[in-house]
Amino acid sequence: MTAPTVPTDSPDSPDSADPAGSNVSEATASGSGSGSGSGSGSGSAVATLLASPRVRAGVPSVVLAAFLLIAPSSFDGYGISLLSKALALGVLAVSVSVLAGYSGLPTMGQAAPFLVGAYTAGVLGTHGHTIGVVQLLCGTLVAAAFAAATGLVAIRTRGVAFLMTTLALGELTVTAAGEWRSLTGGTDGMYGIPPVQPLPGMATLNSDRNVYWYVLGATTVIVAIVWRVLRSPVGKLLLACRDHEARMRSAGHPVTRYQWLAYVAAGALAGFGGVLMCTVNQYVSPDDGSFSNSALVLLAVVLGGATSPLGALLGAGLIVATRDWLAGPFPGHGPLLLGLMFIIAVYAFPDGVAGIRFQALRVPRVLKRRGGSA
Amino acid sequence: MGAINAHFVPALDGVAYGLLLFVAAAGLTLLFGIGGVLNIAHGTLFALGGYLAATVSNGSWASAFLGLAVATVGGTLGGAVLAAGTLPLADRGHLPQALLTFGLSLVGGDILSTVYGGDQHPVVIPNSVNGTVHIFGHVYPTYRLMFIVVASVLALAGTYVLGRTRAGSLLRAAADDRDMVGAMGYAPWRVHAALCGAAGALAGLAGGLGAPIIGPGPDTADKVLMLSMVVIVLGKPGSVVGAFLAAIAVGEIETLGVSISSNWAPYLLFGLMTVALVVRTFRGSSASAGAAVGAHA
Amino acid sequence: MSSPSGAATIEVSGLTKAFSATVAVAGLDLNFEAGRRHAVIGPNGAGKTTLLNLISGELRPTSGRIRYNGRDVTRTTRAKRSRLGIARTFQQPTVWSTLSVADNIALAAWPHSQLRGKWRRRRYRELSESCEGYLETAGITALADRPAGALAHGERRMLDIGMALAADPRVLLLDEPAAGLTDQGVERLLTAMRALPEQVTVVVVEHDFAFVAAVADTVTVLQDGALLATGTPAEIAADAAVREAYLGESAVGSAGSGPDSRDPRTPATVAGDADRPSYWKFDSSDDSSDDSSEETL
Repeated sequence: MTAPTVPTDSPDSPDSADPAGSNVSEATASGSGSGSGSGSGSGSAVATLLASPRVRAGVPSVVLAAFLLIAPSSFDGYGISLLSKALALGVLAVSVSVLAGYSGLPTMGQAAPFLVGAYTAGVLGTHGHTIGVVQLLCGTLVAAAFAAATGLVAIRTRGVAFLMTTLALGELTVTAAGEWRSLTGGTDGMYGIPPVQPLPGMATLNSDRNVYWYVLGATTVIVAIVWRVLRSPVGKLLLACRDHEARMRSAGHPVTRYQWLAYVAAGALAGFGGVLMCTVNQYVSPDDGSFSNSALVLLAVVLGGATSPLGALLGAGLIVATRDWLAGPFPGHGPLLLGLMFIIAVYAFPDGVAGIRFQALRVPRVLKRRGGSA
Repeated sequence: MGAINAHFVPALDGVAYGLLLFVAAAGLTLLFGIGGVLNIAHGTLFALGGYLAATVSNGSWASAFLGLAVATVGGTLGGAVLAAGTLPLADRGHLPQALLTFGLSLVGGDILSTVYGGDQHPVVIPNSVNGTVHIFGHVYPTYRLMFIVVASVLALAGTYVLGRTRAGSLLRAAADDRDMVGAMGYAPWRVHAALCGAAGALAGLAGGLGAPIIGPGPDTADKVLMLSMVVIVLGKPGSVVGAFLAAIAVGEIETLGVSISSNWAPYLLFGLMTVALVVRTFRGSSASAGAAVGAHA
Repeated sequence: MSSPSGAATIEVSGLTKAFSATVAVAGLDLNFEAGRRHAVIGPNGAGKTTLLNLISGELRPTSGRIRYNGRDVTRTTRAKRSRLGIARTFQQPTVWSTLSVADNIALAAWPHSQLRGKWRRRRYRELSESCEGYLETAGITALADRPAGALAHGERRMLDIGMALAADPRVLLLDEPAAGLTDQGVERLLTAMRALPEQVTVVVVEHDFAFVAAVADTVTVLQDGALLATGTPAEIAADAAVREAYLGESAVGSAGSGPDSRDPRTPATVAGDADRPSYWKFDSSDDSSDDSSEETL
């Protein structure tokens, strides 16, 4: 589900498969101070308004916001908790889009910091610290520290190697979670985590509905922050690294540092999502960090458009809807539906996938291999 | 001396397991090193082979061979599906293909668990190999010993094909420069289909042969996939011997490693994999105009 | 924008670069004086681009030293060398395609600007505004808001040059800047190069001798990775060894060449042929459809 292609003044480059195409026009607007998009006044004000790229990019957000605000009144408890789960997973998907979409590092291991965040919240909760904001803060920090450590290793690789490294690191994390029985409860998981109170003095979130509003609020705040940061020059740095890392180095940028920072930020974000998931489920198990989860959110990013945090959220929602809701009439066949969705998505959304490109390791080629070295 | 005695059986198990992984990973390496496709459905094909063999084999030698044949054919058909699915994506790069194979693995896995249920599916092997033999004073399952022999023969045969036949040298050339092979007049889609089919056949055969060792069950696919990936990462790219040694190493870690100290095996495995990935990439980045992880794994 | 004091020398001694079997650069000793315009020419495979890659840091030498203003930078990373003041362009102009032209220039200037907090929008805007001059020099002001990926080849080339200039370098390395340009494009390039500040040391790798003659103070000729000759453009044009290197066994000189001889327009002819407007190449040089000087793995 990609945002509508946005008309800009300049011809769309074939590489710019960015459905949130306002990214480029906004970027140039903030960069060189020129006016945004095709908002030149002619015709009625409404038509001008609708033609403005900013507004058109905003339409999906408005629709989504409306849905998220209205839906709870018509869903039952199960439906609402599904929505909450989708939001938590959505935050994880956004973290993947930061790495895969902006930094050009498709990853199969973001479920690891997600798991770390979830366990942090779980441990805090079972030890009596049930203030939501505190859990969020701690979970995010611990996950960030985790990503900082693992990033030192992961960032040394690129492309498929990076994919496999993050996968391996994810598996290591899941194994460790299963083994560290004293902290995590082992492979059975940590259950009976008490519900949280968002801020000191507020009521404990006892119902699905209340939990939903809390999760929605937290998600909105964090996604808004991420969105702002990605639209700023920071996003440009990452995109340039994705487009041509070697050129960044040639220009003098400390690329490794940028990517490590992006990795840490993505880890923090994933941790945030993990805390939310813990709050929703009141249960954490090593399965939450499995490679399937990582792959699913990568799919979410593919569906939603690689550089669109909003798209990532929508993609995550679609996945949860398919796996847990659509699969209702076909119990146990969630994987089948998901698999079909993967297959369809890959064919039907070349832009989404095109937006994620392998940040290949570039080695200077001096000798021509074909046609002789002449 | 006592330590060697205590660990003899697991060590031998490690060889069997390693050989199994070698044959299994061969298909994955083939596709990845030459076709550039990270086949996440690899484990599923292995499991398919195992299930098919288990269904057909009923204790007679004839049915055992038939079971292997069916497993291989089943794997090849799976490979054909893979080829059909990934071919249109060939010019879109590695990631779409990997995602597609992941989708196929989900679908395939679901079909398998629907047809065969969620439990381990034991295989009936002919009675003559269903017993034990005495080796060096130890009791060891006959089938495993026979498997070691068979798999070794397979491995040697494979090495011969790769090294001494025209098809083999074509394969090695394709691993070095994929486009060259196209330039030599082999239609790319044919090459692609052949690779997928061969990879599928190898996976299916391995699954059938290995069914009495790694029984077909709900976890088989994931386990075999993970282990195969570790093998191809640890093995030196382009070297059959390297892949062989890596497979044996992984096999030993999974068996001997577990018997020595049950906690460390999975850490060791994925830890080694990570180290290998980092070292490989690092070496690639020190500007040698040659192989790097992305191309050969 | 910080302006380091004056130009810098580049000195290489005993520089060797070997790739497994091939030696691209063999024991080169060169000295590029500060503030002058140097050209490096030579037949294909002479090692010119390798030399640039070694100086800019894309490649690590097998042996030998590289000195930048007396400072040994052999072990310094690419990014650090850039920050020290070595900028370059590429055979295939490499730009950041999803970003606008203005952003490309700004990001190229970023590591060399003293502004703090450029990741903030306001500071970034300052940076961008201060880069407008570079856009003008490169003649691409009109394209400022276009995504760089949408540029035509010639425009991309100028952007590449603009990006190198934005780094306010003390040493500027240009890798075949005239390749693939129309006559008009070459004119623009010449203008830009003549407008370069005196303090910048320029090293140009080129095939086009007329271009070289118009721009360079000294010409260095490489062959098979070793130094063949060095001198002013006129001296090189008259050098018999150079002519032989380019034309092989065919007749030296212009008139009287038989029907078999290769292109009769030698450096000698062109140097004296002021009316001829075209910029011919020495040999059937690399087509611009070549892969970039960087290889994707």
